[in-house]
Amino acid sequence: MEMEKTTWNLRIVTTGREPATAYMRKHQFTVGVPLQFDPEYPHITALEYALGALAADIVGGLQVISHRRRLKLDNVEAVLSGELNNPLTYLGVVGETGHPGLERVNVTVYVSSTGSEEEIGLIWEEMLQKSPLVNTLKRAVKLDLVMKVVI
Amino acid sequence: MKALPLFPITTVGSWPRSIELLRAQKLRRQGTLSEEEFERVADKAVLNVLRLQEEAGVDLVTDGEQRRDNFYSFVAAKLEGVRLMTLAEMLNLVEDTVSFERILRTLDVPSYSISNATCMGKVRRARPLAVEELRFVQKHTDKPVKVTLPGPYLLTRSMYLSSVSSKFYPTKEDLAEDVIQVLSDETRELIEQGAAFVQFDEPVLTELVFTQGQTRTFMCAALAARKDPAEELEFAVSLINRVVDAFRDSRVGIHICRGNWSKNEATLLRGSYHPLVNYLNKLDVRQLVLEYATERAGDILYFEDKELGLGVVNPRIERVESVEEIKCSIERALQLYPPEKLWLNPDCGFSSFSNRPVNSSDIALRKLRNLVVAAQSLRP
Repeated sequence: MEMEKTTWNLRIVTTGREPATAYMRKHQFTVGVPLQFDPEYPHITALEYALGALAADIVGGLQVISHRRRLKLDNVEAVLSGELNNPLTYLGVVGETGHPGLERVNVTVYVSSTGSEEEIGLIWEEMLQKSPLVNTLKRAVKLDLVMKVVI
Repeated sequence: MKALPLFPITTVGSWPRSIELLRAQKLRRQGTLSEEEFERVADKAVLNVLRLQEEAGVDLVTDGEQRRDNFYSFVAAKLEGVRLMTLAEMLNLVEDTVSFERILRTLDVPSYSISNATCMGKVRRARPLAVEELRFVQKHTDKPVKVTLPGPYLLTRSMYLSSVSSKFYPTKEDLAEDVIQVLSDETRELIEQGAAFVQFDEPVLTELVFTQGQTRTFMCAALAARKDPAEELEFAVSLINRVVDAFRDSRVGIHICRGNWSKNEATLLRGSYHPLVNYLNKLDVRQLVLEYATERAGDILYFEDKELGLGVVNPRIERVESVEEIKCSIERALQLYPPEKLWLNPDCGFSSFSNRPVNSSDIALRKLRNLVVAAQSLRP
């Protein structure tokens, strides 16, 4: 039997003023401009949401898989940094080459558990295989993922 | 107490913890290991560190700060009005979140793995901070014992988190009054119990003079906003002097370094003690325990009427300094200080943060052994 394809739907609305509001299922959140260089900019940018989503996919995925494998992860924390190919192209600086897309994303994931490093390693490998966003982005950017076990 | 030899050797405090002890610390934090069970594991670790120091030939021993999760936050378990918060819990509360995040990234640690003692009520000593540690060591050694404590400025700066502390103390200066009381009471008790040396750690003093316009590098200093550096240094000197005032006849010292959380020397602060000279000369302490093995500290300076605890090995590098190198450092210091004013030690602890040692126990021991051989060769 052919399985019906599931789609995920959301709507995002801007009335000309920042930020835009995204609606999905019974939830909503607001998003600012695509990206910002000003650290005082008051909204979360679309780029930050995208990077945050990737990190959340990883830490959340680890927890789901560890729960299924009955190994408690006491703490999981990811630190992510993303680098654009050439941010000046986003600003429209004349003469700049390249593109404003993500060039590289580095993610370090710290995991604490009473389980062995081997058990944690298996959870990590399964997460890499099953993560929707890791599997999307690894085809588009240089994705460097490191897991560190912390006592 | 047996007379100390010339060039007495001691450590700055912390020693790398065993995996067993780190696990026990974690389980205790989670509440799944009782205090008694933890103390059993810690006792064993302290005895091991004690034996290592004795075998190496150290003259004044410490307990290696084995029971502490880091060099200052352990006070949370001993004080009323103070709670241990992980940095993860504090992310929303710190004033300078950008610096805070930058420091965390440089540390390369998760925010849940470092804890800070945070003022969340009126601060009172519920039980002694280090007297039990002292008694335990005294029971198991004939050597004089050094006890390390966080200094009053460090404690005030690190414990004051405006968003939660201001309800109890309008300013960090108000909190400092109770911190002085706590540390004065503790020092009195330690000296009564026979501590041969009480060392206060005040690493944040270098942060005041070396980070103008740069990234802050001390997690413990990133929490409370600082004022003008000169004003803050005067404040720090006044706090320290009020704590030590009654103990001028005892050996009380101050340890000041430029950070000890990374093996990457390039990320730590750099600069001579020169901008601090006027302030350090005003301190009513007998000894200044200073780092000089790292070239980041510049040339050795002379401090009037004080002993120098000369840092002669770098705890953060794996290379073990040779006996000859150490002798050269001592001889350089002897050009400024009379021999009886010179003490010898590593630049800092070997594991100021329990889960982030800057070297292995084996390398730490080899460094101490060379230090002892160098000192012995210069003693009459």
